[in-house]
Amino acid sequence: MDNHKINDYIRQLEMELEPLPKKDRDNHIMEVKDHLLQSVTNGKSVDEVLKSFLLPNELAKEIKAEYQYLYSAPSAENRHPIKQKSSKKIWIILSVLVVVIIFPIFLAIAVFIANVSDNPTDTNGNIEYEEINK
Amino acid sequence: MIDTYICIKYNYLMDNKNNNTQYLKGLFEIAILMMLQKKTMYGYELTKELKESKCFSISDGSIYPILKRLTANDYVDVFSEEYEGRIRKYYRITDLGKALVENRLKELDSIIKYFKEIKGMD
Repeated sequence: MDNHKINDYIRQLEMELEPLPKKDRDNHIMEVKDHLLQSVTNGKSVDEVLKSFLLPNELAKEIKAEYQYLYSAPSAENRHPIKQKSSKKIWIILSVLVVVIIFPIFLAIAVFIANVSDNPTDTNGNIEYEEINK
Repeated sequence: MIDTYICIKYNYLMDNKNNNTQYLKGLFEIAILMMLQKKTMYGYELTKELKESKCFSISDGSIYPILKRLTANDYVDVFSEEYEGRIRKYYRITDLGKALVENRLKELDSIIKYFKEIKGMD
Protein backbone atom coordinates (compact mmCIF):
# COMPACT_ATOMS: atom_id res chain seq x y z
CA MET A 1 0.00 0.00 0.00
CA ASP A 2 1.35 3.41 -0.99
CA ASN A 3 0.93 5.08 2.37
CA HIS A 4 3.23 7.89 1.34
CA LYS A 5 0.55 9.60 -0.76
CA ILE A 6 -2.09 9.05 1.90
CA ASN A 7 0.21 10.53 4.55
CA ASP A 8 0.83 13.54 2.29
CA TYR A 9 -2.91 14.05 1.92
CA ILE A 10 -3.40 13.77 5.68
CA ARG A 11 -0.55 16.22 6.37
CA GLN A 12 -2.07 18.78 4.00
CA LEU A 13 -5.52 18.34 5.50
CA GLU A 14 -4.05 18.76 8.97
CA MET A 15 -2.43 22.03 7.94
CA GLU A 16 -5.67 23.28 6.40
CA LEU A 17 -7.57 22.42 9.57
CA GLU A 18 -5.10 24.32 11.75
CA PRO A 19 -7.73 26.88 12.92
CA LEU A 20 -9.84 24.13 14.53
CA PRO A 21 -9.34 23.04 18.14
CA LYS A 22 -6.78 20.22 18.31
CA LYS A 23 -9.30 17.66 19.57
CA ASP A 24 -11.69 18.33 16.66
CA ARG A 25 -8.84 18.41 14.16
CA ASP A 26 -7.49 15.07 15.39
CA ASN A 27 -10.97 13.55 15.22
CA HIS A 28 -11.43 14.57 11.59
CA ILE A 29 -7.95 13.43 10.63
CA MET A 30 -8.47 10.05 12.27
CA GLU A 31 -11.79 9.57 10.49
CA VAL A 32 -10.55 10.63 7.05
CA LYS A 33 -7.50 8.41 7.40
CA ASP A 34 -9.72 5.45 8.27
CA HIS A 35 -11.87 6.21 5.21
CA LEU A 36 -8.85 6.38 2.87
CA LEU A 37 -7.32 3.19 4.22
CA GLN A 38 -10.64 1.32 4.11
CA SER A 39 -11.13 2.34 0.45
CA VAL A 40 -7.70 0.97 -0.40
CA THR A 41 -8.36 -2.21 1.58
CA ASN A 42 -11.55 -2.70 -0.45
CA GLY A 43 -9.55 -2.88 -3.66
CA LYS A 44 -9.10 0.64 -5.02
CA SER A 45 -5.67 1.99 -5.85
CA VAL A 46 -4.35 4.86 -3.73
CA ASP A 47 -4.54 7.17 -6.77
CA GLU A 48 -8.16 6.22 -7.42
CA VAL A 49 -9.04 6.76 -3.79
CA LEU A 50 -7.40 10.17 -3.62
CA LYS A 51 -9.00 11.19 -6.92
CA SER A 52 -12.49 10.42 -5.61
CA PHE A 53 -11.77 12.32 -2.42
CA LEU A 54 -12.18 16.08 -2.12
CA LEU A 55 -8.86 17.92 -2.25
CA PRO A 56 -7.48 18.64 1.25
CA ASN A 57 -8.21 22.37 0.95
CA GLU A 58 -11.75 21.70 -0.34
CA LEU A 59 -12.54 19.24 2.42
CA ALA A 60 -11.04 21.53 5.06
CA LYS A 61 -13.12 24.40 3.67
CA GLU A 62 -16.32 22.34 4.04
CA ILE A 63 -15.40 21.22 7.54
CA LYS A 64 -14.48 24.74 8.65
CA ALA A 65 -17.69 26.11 7.12
CA GLU A 66 -19.63 23.61 9.19
CA TYR A 67 -17.93 24.79 12.37
CA GLN A 68 -18.64 28.39 11.42
CA TYR A 69 -22.31 27.48 10.88
CA LEU A 70 -22.49 25.58 14.17
CA TYR A 71 -20.94 28.38 16.18
CA SER A 72 -23.15 31.04 14.61
CA ALA A 73 -26.43 29.11 14.81
CA PRO A 74 -28.00 27.95 18.06
CA SER A 75 -27.49 24.21 18.20
CA ALA A 76 -27.49 21.70 21.02
CA GLU A 77 -23.70 21.48 21.25
CA ASN A 78 -23.19 25.16 20.69
CA ARG A 79 -25.87 26.49 22.96
CA HIS A 80 -25.14 24.69 26.18
CA PRO A 81 -21.37 25.28 26.56
CA ILE A 82 -21.83 28.98 25.91
CA LYS A 83 -24.60 29.13 28.50
CA GLN A 84 -22.42 27.31 31.00
CA LYS A 85 -19.50 29.59 30.25
CA SER A 86 -21.57 32.76 30.65
CA SER A 87 -23.15 31.57 33.90
CA LYS A 88 -19.66 30.71 35.17
CA LYS A 89 -18.52 34.22 34.25
CA ILE A 90 -21.43 35.76 36.12
CA TRP A 91 -20.53 33.81 39.27
CA ILE A 92 -16.89 34.86 39.02
CA ILE A 93 -17.87 38.52 38.59
CA LEU A 94 -20.29 38.30 41.54
CA SER A 95 -17.63 36.69 43.76
CA VAL A 96 -15.12 39.40 42.85
CA LEU A 97 -17.73 42.10 43.56
CA VAL A 98 -18.48 40.61 46.97
CA VAL A 99 -14.83 40.28 47.95
CA VAL A 100 -13.53 43.57 46.54
CA ILE A 101 -16.44 45.99 46.96
CA ILE A 102 -19.38 44.76 48.99
CA PHE A 103 -17.47 42.97 51.78
CA PRO A 104 -15.16 45.98 52.57
CA ILE A 105 -18.21 48.29 52.60
CA PHE A 106 -19.99 46.06 55.10
CA LEU A 107 -16.80 45.79 57.11
CA ALA A 108 -16.41 49.57 57.14
CA ILE A 109 -20.04 50.03 58.22
CA ALA A 110 -19.62 47.44 60.98
CA VAL A 111 -16.44 49.15 62.27
CA PHE A 112 -18.15 52.54 62.12
CA ILE A 113 -21.19 51.31 64.05
CA ALA A 114 -18.92 49.62 66.58
CA ASN A 115 -16.98 52.87 67.12
CA VAL A 116 -20.11 54.99 67.46
CA SER A 117 -21.71 52.69 69.99
CA ASP A 118 -18.45 52.09 71.81
CA ASN A 119 -19.39 53.70 75.16
CA PRO A 120 -16.96 53.59 78.07
CA THR A 121 -17.66 50.89 80.61
CA ASP A 122 -16.58 50.47 84.17
CA THR A 123 -14.64 47.56 85.51
CA ASN A 124 -17.87 45.56 86.00
CA GLY A 125 -18.85 46.01 82.38
CA ASN A 126 -21.63 48.53 83.21
CA ILE A 127 -22.00 51.47 80.92
CA GLU A 128 -20.78 54.67 82.42
CA TYR A 129 -22.94 57.63 81.59
CA GLU A 130 -21.39 61.05 81.46
CA GLU A 131 -22.94 63.45 83.80
CA ILE A 132 -24.29 66.41 82.05
CA ASN A 133 -23.35 69.47 83.89
CA LYS A 134 -25.70 72.19 83.18
CA MET B 1 -29.79 0.44 -0.26
CA ILE B 2 -31.26 3.67 0.90
CA ASP B 3 -35.00 3.84 1.16
CA THR B 4 -36.44 4.53 -2.30
CA TYR B 5 -39.07 6.67 -0.63
CA ILE B 6 -36.70 9.52 0.06
CA CYS B 7 -35.04 9.15 -3.36
CA ILE B 8 -38.35 9.81 -5.08
CA LYS B 9 -38.86 12.91 -2.99
CA TYR B 10 -35.32 14.04 -3.64
CA ASN B 11 -35.83 13.79 -7.40
CA TYR B 12 -39.03 15.79 -7.11
CA LEU B 13 -37.44 18.51 -5.09
CA MET B 14 -34.00 18.96 -6.56
CA ASP B 15 -33.66 20.26 -10.08
CA ASN B 16 -30.27 21.80 -9.58
CA LYS B 17 -27.91 20.27 -7.06
CA ASN B 18 -25.71 23.36 -7.00
CA ASN B 19 -28.53 25.52 -5.75
CA ASN B 20 -29.39 25.84 -2.11
CA THR B 21 -26.56 23.95 -0.46
CA GLN B 22 -28.12 24.08 2.98
CA TYR B 23 -31.35 22.55 1.66
CA LEU B 24 -29.39 19.80 -0.06
CA LYS B 25 -27.47 19.17 3.14
CA GLY B 26 -30.81 18.87 4.92
CA LEU B 27 -31.84 16.08 2.54
CA PHE B 28 -28.51 14.35 3.01
CA GLU B 29 -29.04 14.56 6.75
CA ILE B 30 -32.38 12.78 6.48
CA ALA B 31 -30.94 10.14 4.15
CA ILE B 32 -28.06 9.49 6.56
CA LEU B 33 -30.39 9.32 9.55
CA MET B 34 -32.63 6.85 7.72
CA MET B 35 -29.65 4.64 7.01
CA LEU B 36 -28.61 4.86 10.66
CA GLN B 37 -32.11 3.81 11.67
CA LYS B 38 -31.34 0.46 10.11
CA LYS B 39 -27.94 -0.02 11.73
CA THR B 40 -24.93 1.65 13.31
CA MET B 41 -22.47 2.69 10.59
CA TYR B 42 -19.15 4.49 10.03
CA GLY B 43 -18.24 7.23 7.54
CA TYR B 44 -16.93 5.07 4.71
CA GLU B 45 -19.95 2.75 4.89
CA LEU B 46 -22.40 5.67 4.82
CA THR B 47 -20.66 7.27 1.82
CA LYS B 48 -20.63 3.95 -0.05
CA GLU B 49 -24.34 3.41 0.55
CA LEU B 50 -25.23 6.98 -0.43
CA LYS B 51 -23.33 6.53 -3.70
CA GLU B 52 -25.18 3.29 -4.40
CA SER B 53 -28.51 5.07 -3.96
CA LYS B 54 -27.97 6.84 -7.34
CA CYS B 55 -29.90 9.89 -6.24
CA PHE B 56 -27.46 11.12 -3.62
CA SER B 57 -24.10 11.60 -5.25
CA ILE B 58 -21.53 12.68 -2.72
CA SER B 59 -17.78 13.22 -2.96
CA ASP B 60 -15.66 11.14 -0.63
CA GLY B 61 -15.05 13.15 2.51
CA SER B 62 -18.10 15.41 2.13
CA ILE B 63 -20.06 13.33 4.57
CA TYR B 64 -17.91 14.32 7.55
CA PRO B 65 -19.08 17.94 7.87
CA ILE B 66 -22.69 16.65 7.70
CA LEU B 67 -21.98 14.04 10.37
CA LYS B 68 -20.41 16.75 12.50
CA ARG B 69 -23.63 18.77 12.28
CA LEU B 70 -25.80 15.76 13.10
CA THR B 71 -23.63 14.98 16.11
CA ALA B 72 -23.58 18.59 17.30
CA ASN B 73 -27.38 18.69 17.17
CA ASP B 74 -27.68 15.41 19.09
CA TYR B 75 -29.38 13.59 16.20
CA VAL B 76 -26.64 10.97 16.29
CA ASP B 77 -24.11 9.92 18.85
CA VAL B 78 -20.63 8.64 18.23
CA PHE B 79 -18.47 5.93 19.70
CA SER B 80 -15.04 4.71 18.72
CA GLU B 81 -13.70 1.21 18.35
CA GLU B 82 -10.33 -0.14 17.33
CA TYR B 83 -10.28 -1.73 13.91
CA GLU B 84 -7.11 -3.25 12.43
CA GLY B 85 -4.85 -1.06 14.54
CA ARG B 86 -6.69 2.18 13.90
CA ILE B 87 -9.56 3.95 15.63
CA ARG B 88 -12.90 3.89 13.81
CA LYS B 89 -15.80 6.20 14.64
CA TYR B 90 -19.28 4.72 14.49
CA TYR B 91 -22.50 6.69 14.31
CA ARG B 92 -25.77 5.72 15.97
CA ILE B 93 -29.13 7.50 15.64
CA THR B 94 -30.64 9.00 18.80
CA ASP B 95 -34.33 9.32 19.73
CA LEU B 96 -34.10 12.97 18.71
CA GLY B 97 -32.79 11.88 15.30
CA LYS B 98 -35.63 9.39 14.89
CA ALA B 99 -38.16 12.10 15.72
CA LEU B 100 -36.52 14.43 13.19
CA VAL B 101 -36.81 11.81 10.44
CA GLU B 102 -40.47 11.28 11.21
CA ASN B 103 -41.22 15.02 11.15
CA ARG B 104 -39.22 15.72 8.00
CA LEU B 105 -40.89 12.86 6.11
CA LYS B 106 -44.30 14.21 7.10
CA GLU B 107 -43.26 17.66 5.88
CA LEU B 108 -41.93 16.28 2.62
CA ASP B 109 -45.13 14.30 2.15
CA SER B 110 -47.20 17.45 2.47
CA ILE B 111 -44.94 19.31 0.04
CA ILE B 112 -45.08 16.52 -2.56
CA LYS B 113 -48.84 16.26 -2.13
CA TYR B 114 -49.17 20.00 -2.69
CA PHE B 115 -46.90 19.91 -5.75
CA LYS B 116 -48.94 17.07 -7.19
CA GLU B 117 -52.13 19.03 -6.60
CA ILE B 118 -50.73 22.06 -8.44
CA LYS B 119 -49.58 19.85 -11.27
CA GLY B 120 -52.97 18.16 -11.40
CA MET B 121 -51.55 14.73 -10.74
CA ASP B 122 -53.99 13.86 -7.95
